Amino acid sequence: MIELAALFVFFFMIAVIVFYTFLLVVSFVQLRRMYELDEWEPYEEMLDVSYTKPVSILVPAYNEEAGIFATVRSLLSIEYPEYEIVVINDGSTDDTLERLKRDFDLVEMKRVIREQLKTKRVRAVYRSQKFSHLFVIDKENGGKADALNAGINFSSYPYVCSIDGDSVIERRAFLKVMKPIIDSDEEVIASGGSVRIANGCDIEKGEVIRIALSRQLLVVMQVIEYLRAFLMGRIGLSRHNLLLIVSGAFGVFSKQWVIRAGGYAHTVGEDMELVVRLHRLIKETDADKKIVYVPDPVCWTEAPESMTDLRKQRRRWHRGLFESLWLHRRMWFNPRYGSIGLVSMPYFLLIEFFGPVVELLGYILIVISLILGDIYIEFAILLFLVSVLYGSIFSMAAVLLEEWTVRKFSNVSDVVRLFFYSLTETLWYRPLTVLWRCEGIVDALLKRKGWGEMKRKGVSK
Amino acid sequence: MSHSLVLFTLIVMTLSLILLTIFLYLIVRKRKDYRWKQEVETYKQLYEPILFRHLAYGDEQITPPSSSAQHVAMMELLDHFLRVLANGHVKQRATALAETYFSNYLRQQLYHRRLGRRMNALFYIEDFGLRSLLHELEKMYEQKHVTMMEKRQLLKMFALFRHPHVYEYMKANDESFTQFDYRLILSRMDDKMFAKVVDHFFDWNEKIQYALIDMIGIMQKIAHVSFLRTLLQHEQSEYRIRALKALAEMAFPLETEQLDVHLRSQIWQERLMALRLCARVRKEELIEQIKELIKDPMFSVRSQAAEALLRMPNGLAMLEQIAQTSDDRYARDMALEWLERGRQYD
Repeated sequence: MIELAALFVFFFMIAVIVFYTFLLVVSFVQLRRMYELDEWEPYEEMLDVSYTKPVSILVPAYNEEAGIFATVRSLLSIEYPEYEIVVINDGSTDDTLERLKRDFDLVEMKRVIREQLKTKRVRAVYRSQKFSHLFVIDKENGGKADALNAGINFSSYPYVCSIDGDSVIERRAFLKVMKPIIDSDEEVIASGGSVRIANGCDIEKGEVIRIALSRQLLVVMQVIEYLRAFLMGRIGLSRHNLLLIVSGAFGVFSKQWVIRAGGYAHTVGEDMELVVRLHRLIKETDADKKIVYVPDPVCWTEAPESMTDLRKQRRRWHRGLFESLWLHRRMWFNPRYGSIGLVSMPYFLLIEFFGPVVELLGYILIVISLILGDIYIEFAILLFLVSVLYGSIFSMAAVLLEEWTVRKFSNVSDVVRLFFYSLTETLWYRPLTVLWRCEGIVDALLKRKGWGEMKRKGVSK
Repeated sequence: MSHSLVLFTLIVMTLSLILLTIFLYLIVRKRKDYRWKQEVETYKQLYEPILFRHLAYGDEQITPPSSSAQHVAMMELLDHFLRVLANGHVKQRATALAETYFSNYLRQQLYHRRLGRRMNALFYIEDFGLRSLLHELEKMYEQKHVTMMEKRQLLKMFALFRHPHVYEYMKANDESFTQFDYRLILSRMDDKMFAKVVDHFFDWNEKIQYALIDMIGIMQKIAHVSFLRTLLQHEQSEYRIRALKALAEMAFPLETEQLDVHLRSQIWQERLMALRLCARVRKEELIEQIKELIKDPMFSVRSQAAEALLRMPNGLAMLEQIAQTSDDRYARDMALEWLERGRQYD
């Protein structure tokens, strides 16, 4: 019995390792080709208003009084020829709205809102007297998706982007993310960029001044995890238009297509669910459209620093993943949806979603084998080795991939720390996150709701 | 079992060792690169005043760069100065300097195995206006393995350097180029080349045609207004819509009768663009027409109509009247919104 289970875990992991290796190679080739490409030249021409599509940036805010000022500030100084910022106060119970009114000199305005998506009642709309491209919508509480939909109704530009209250955007983020859309004559309808962890970096007035690694062990482990997910997974998948689900990412969407897809839905991960829905719409309408991903880090986000917050976040993400997958279960292994149905969906279902269960089983088997002793010790060692390969080795490879291609960390010591910390991943961090993700599955099965928001400290000085 | 266990242990160990080796290599390289970057920075500081005087006044002699750090430092500075000191003399001197010192270096870079490096070389060649490398660029373009990214950049440079075969190249790339690419290519052409593209308008594919009409507006090519006017008579609506948009961009005062035709169009985009032109040129004779369009079924047409009214000499009063008396709720709302916008800018 134990033998069978151990073999199952072993071969499952080997299969996943093979798949990951494939993604790693694709990413490496892709990134390496563009290595040393000038940071500015490719985007210079986009600064001309006549060529560039304007973007509406949506900032949903629910009780974000600590971080909202820094977020909006960082958005005011981005480099993009034409954009507007729409903050949606989703019935906050703290001083979010007051803070905005005071900091940005808001006055109430009249604006005809075209209700293309159904939302909770909008109480008032404000515009800033200091910045002509800043607007604030005050509405009744309806959740993040509802807030985003209200923002879409209000927005006046053809592209929308949603940004969390705890993120800082690179000044050139929109140039980088919009480039594939503009280059392709809008064949690309959604474009995402990498997210990195802001903890440890110097951020002033909403701008990342210096990139550095946090001193906190837990944060470093998350940095490694992000590198692994974004550099390895996303690029590899995007290359073949297979990119499906992006947890906590940054993306620009064609408004027209978002509206056609019915807007944001009330699920845990609105962005990732929307991406699936767009893919589905593309396939169902036989449209020649694409969703792409840009490897440049463009968005910096605050990572949880305590075990409790991290646990909440991971549970929530995994529940969100489950909801997105379940909602679109018709696409699983469905040849009608092409590679999305036959590769992406199974990948997210079997590896991303079901993977932690197998991993957990592996850890349990290791413990049981150790207790039973005797011949079972071999199982324990084998399972441990395969977990090291699955966890630590790939994380180390991801760290090296970053250093070989993107190279955002300027300090040698940061890279050294990243490398050696990733070595320890299998011993403690990985089992913990696996456990939390499995808790997320339990939550999803028990239909447990609730947000489990973490308390923000605000990332900016 | 134990055999495979040993084997597996060996695999994991080997992999770890390989990664460790790569890691050590990358760390050593990082240190080296750091020192190299500092060297470049030092040279940049050294060259900055000399190069500035040379470009601005032409009275300083520049010693030729010998190491690659010196090359890079000087090229980066030159590129920077070209961006901030754009005038004819500076450009001439920059080109002359680049011609003597960098063309060999850049020519070599064009054959680098990494795309990133080749692209950077192309960007520099364009910025420095190194027309003398045209033959090299042509060879690169004809290569089998040339990537789309390079092709795009090359074609833009052919337009800029007035390559005689640029038209043939444009024709040959029907599928892979986008309207945006063509816009950028067209934007680099001089008036003579551009006029030639306009003359053969109906020979081009749709993407080039649309890009061409847009660029006439964006670049304010008044010489081609008569061409746009012929397009207004065309049966294909996309031509009419784009031509109106281009005319609006130039704020060209089209005759009232002609505009009136487009304001009554069945196609809402055509009404929208005609209104945009009305807003730019303030045709008071069309006020009654525009007032009708503020009740249009299309949201964006209503909005544009309100803006057009607002731009009229007594726009605020007219919008006020609509806001109070119109029988159409949407028209009233729209008038109110633009009233507020109008007052805000007063």
